[in-house]
Amino acid sequence: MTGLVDVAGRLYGIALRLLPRELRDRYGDDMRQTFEDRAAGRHGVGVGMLFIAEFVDLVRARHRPGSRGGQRRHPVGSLTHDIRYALRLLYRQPSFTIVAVVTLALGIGATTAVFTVVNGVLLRPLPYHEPDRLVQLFHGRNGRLSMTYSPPNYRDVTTGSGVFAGATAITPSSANLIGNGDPQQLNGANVTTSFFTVLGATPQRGRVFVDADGAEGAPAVVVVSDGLWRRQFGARADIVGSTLRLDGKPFTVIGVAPPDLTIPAGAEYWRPLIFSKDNLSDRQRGAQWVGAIARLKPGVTLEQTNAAMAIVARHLSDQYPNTNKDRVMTAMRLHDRIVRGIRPALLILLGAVTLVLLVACVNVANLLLARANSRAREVAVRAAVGAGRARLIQQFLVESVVLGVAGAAAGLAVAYWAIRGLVALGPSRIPRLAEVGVDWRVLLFVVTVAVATSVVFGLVPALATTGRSFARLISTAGRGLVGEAGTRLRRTLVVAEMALAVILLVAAGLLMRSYQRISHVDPGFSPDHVLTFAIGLPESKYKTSAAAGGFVQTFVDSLATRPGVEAAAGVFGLPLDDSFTASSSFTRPGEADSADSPSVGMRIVTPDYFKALRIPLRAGRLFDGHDDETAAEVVVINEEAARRYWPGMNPIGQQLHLGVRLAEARSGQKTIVGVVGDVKWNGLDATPPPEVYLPHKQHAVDSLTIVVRTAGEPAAFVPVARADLATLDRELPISAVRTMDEVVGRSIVERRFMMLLLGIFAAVAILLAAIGVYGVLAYIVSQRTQEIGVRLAIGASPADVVRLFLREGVALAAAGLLIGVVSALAAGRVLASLLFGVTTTDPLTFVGVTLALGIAALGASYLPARRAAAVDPMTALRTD
Amino acid sequence: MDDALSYLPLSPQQFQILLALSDGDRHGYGIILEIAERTAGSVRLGTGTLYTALAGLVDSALIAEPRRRPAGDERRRYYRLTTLGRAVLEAETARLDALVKQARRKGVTALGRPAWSRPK
Repeated sequence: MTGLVDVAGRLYGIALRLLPRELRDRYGDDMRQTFEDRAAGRHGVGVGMLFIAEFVDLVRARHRPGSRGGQRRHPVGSLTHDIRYALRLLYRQPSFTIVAVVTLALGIGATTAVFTVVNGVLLRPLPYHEPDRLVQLFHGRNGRLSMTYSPPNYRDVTTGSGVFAGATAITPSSANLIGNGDPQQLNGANVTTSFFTVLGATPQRGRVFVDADGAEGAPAVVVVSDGLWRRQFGARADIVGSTLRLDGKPFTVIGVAPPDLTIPAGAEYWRPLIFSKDNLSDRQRGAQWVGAIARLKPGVTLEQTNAAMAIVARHLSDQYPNTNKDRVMTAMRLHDRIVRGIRPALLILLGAVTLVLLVACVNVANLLLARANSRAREVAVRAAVGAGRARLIQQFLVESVVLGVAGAAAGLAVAYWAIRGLVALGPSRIPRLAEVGVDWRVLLFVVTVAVATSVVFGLVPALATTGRSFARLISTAGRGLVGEAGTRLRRTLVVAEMALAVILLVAAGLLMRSYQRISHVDPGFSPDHVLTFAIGLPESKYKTSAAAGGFVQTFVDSLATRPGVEAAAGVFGLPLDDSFTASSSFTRPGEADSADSPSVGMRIVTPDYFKALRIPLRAGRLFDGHDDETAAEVVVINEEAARRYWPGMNPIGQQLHLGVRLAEARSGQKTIVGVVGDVKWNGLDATPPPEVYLPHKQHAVDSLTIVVRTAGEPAAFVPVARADLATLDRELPISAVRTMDEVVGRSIVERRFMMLLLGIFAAVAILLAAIGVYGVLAYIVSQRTQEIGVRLAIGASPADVVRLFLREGVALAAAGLLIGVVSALAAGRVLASLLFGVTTTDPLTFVGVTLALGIAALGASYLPARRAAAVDPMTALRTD
Repeated sequence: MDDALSYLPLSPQQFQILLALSDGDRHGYGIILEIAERTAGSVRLGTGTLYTALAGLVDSALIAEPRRRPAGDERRRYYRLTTLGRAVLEAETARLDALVKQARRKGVTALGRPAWSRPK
C-alpha cells in the first residue's frame, strides 16, 4: 500500500501548516519523512489511525511553543485548553463516553465500510492507463445490444471510424492444465496482441505481446495472471521462459500480468488471438464471437465516437445487408459497462447507511442534551465570569469534535472488520469487490464524516444550552437548565430518529418480502438432488464433433448406470447460470431473414436432460438416442415459443431455420418434435424467454455442464463422477462443481446480500431509536418526580402512572411512524427496481413495521414508566 | 560554555530525546523507535511533539546536526548530542537521582516499577 502511505504523507504535509512557519521551513520535509517512515508497513486502517494520532499531536504541538528550549511554558491556548477539558470530562463520565463512542463507531464504521465498497467499485478509476479513454463496443439490432462482434465487423469499425487510438479483440477461453496432481480447468482469454498496450498494462515480469506473436505460425506464447503465477508456480522468479501445458500443448510463458488486470473477469492466462484469413472474410460477418475494447484518441468524446461508429455501421448495413442490415454499433465507457449492474444497489446501500449514521448522530445529540442539563451550573458560572456565547459554543463544539474523533477512530476499527465481512460475504458477481481497500478517498471521507457528524450532533445541544439570557441562566442554575424547552427538543429528536428508523424498516421489509416471493418462484424444473459440474474437451484431442458427442454420451451413460443415479445428462447452457447466453434469430418457412426476425434462446442437451431436471413434456416427444448426426435435424421448443410463434396451431411437425451457423450443421432446417415446460433462464425474476433445445449429437459442443440426479446427497457423488471421468480420459478436469440448489441460490445472492445489509441497518436504527425513547422518557420521569408524587398521594394507582408514561412513549412512536411512513412512501420509488412481486406500498410490510416500532417503543417506555410508578410519594414531595 | 545547570529542569520529552541520542546519532524516526523500544511502548512521541522539541534543543545547542550523513541514507536528517547536551543530560540525571534519594529517605517507595523498567 505504498500509494496510501504517499497520500497520507501528502495530507500530513498539508497538516504541517498548523505549525509556526519558521519550524515548518526548518523541519517540514524531515517531519514528513519521519511520518512516512512510521506509516510504512502499516495496513490501511493503521495508517488512518496513525494520521489521526499525528494530527492531534500537531494540534497540541502548535499550542505548546513553551516546550521548546528550557524556557517556561506560555499560558495554554484556548483550543488546547478546551480539548484537554473535554478529554477530562469524557474520562470522568465513562458510561456516557462509552455509549456515545460506541453509537458513533457503529454509525461511522458502517458508513465507512459501505463507502469503501462504493469507492472501490464505483469511484476508483480502473487500474489502467487513462481509463477514461477506454470503451467497450456494443453491437446489435432491435435494441438488443450484445458485446460480441464478428472479426470483419470488429476490424471495420475499429479502423474505419477514425476515433480510436487502438483496439483489441477478446474472446474468453478455458483450457485444461495438466501438471502435478489432478488436472484443473483454467479460465483465460485469447486476445489480439494489442491487448496490453491498449489497456496500458505493464507486466510485472517479462514482456507482453508484440505484433510478431500474432503472426501465423509464431511460437505459442502465454502471459499468466498474478494469481496463477503464485498458485501454480509459487511466485518463482524464473517463470519467464518456462512452459505451461494447456490442453496438452506447450506454451512458453513470456510474462506475468499486473495483479489488478481483470479483463475478462477471472482470467488466469492470455494467449494471442490470431485471426485467420477465413475468420476475416466477408462470409464470416454473421459469426459474432469477439468482444471489443478500444482506446479513444485524446480529446475524442463519447458522442463523437458513437456518431463515427454509426456512420460505419450504416455503411456496413448497406454493403452487407444479409448480416449487417439495421445493426447498430455503439460504445460505452469500460468502467460504466463493468459497474452498470451494481450501481443502483450500491447507491441505495449508501443512502441507507447514511440514515443509520443520522440516527446515531441524533442519539448522541440526545445524550449530550441530557448531560447539558447536569452542567447547568458550570455554564452559568462560565457565563457569569465573562465567557461569551461564541466562546461557550466553541467549547461545546470542541467537546463534540473530540467525541467525533474518538468515534471515528473506533469506527475505523469497526469498518476494518465490516469491510472484510462485506468482501467475504459479498456476491462474487459484484465486479471489482476483491480490489476494495482503504485509500485517500476513504480517509478523507472518514475525516469529513467525523467532523460533519460532530457538528451535527454537537451544534443542537450547544445552541440549546447557551441560547438564553445569562440572567436566566444564572437564576435557574440550581434547577434543570434545559427544562420544558429542552424536553421539547429531545422529543423532536426522538421523533426524527423514529421516522428515520421507519424508512429503513420499510426498505428492509420490502426487500425481505421480495426475497420471500422470489424464493418461492417455480423455476420450471426441480433443483433438489441434482449435482452439476463442467467439463471441457480440448479440441486437439476431440477433433470432430462426432468424437466430442460420442465421448459425452458415453460419459453420461456410464454415470447413469451408477447406483443411486436416476438420470445423467449434458447441457450447454445451464438454467440460471449467469455466465451463459446464447440465442439466435430464426425464420419460419416462407419468411426472409430481416431485422425483425424473431429470436429464441438456445440450449444443446443430451436426451436425458429433461428427465434429470424434471422438465415436463407438454406435447410430442423428447430426444432419444436416434437423434444423431445421421438422422433428420430436430428441435424441442418450450411452451413460450409455442405460444408466441405458433399460436393457435400444433407446433409439432412445424419447420424452422436458425440464423446462427452451428458447427457442421447441415441444412439448418429443423423440425419441431416436442414441446416442454418453460424454465427460468436469466433469473427467477425474469419471464422465461422462448427457447429451442437442440440434441447434442447433432450439435456437439466441447464445453458443457453435466447434470446428475441422485437419490441421495448429490455432493457425495462427486468422487464417483471424478473417477468415472478419469477412466475415460485421465487428463480431463471437472470444474465449477455445484448442486443445482446452489445454482438457484446463487442467482438470488445479491438480493439476499442487500436484504441482509438493510436488515442489519434497520435493526441498528430501531435499537438506537428505542434507546432514544428510553432516554427521553427516563429524563421526563426524573423531571416530573414531584408531580408523580402528588398524583400518587391523591390516589392515583401505580398502574395509572405506568399508563401515563406508556402513553407518552406511544405518542412519540406514533409521530415518528406517521412522518416515517409518509417519507417511506415518497422514497419508495428509489427501491422499486430492487423489488419483486411486491409494490412499494405493500400493506403487510407497513403493518409489520408499525408493529415492530410499536413494540420497540412500548418496551423502551416500560422501564422508565415502572420506575415512575415506584416513586415514593413522601420522598418525592420532600425533595427541593 | 554555558552552565549546564541553567537548562534544568528538562521536560520529559527533552530528557527522552537526549537519552535516545546518548549512544549515537539518529534520525527523527530512529529517535521515536529508540524511545518506544526502550520504554516498551509506554512513551510514544508524536512527530509534531518531537520536532518542536528538537528545534528547541538545536536552538539551545544541546544537539546539532552532523554535516555528513551516513552513506546510503542521505535523505534523512540526523541529530547528534553535543558536549553541552551530554553535560545537561548528566546534570538532569543527577538532579533526578538526588530527588529520588530524598524521597526514599523520607520512606517513599515505588509501589511497583513500570513494566518497561524491569529487566527482561
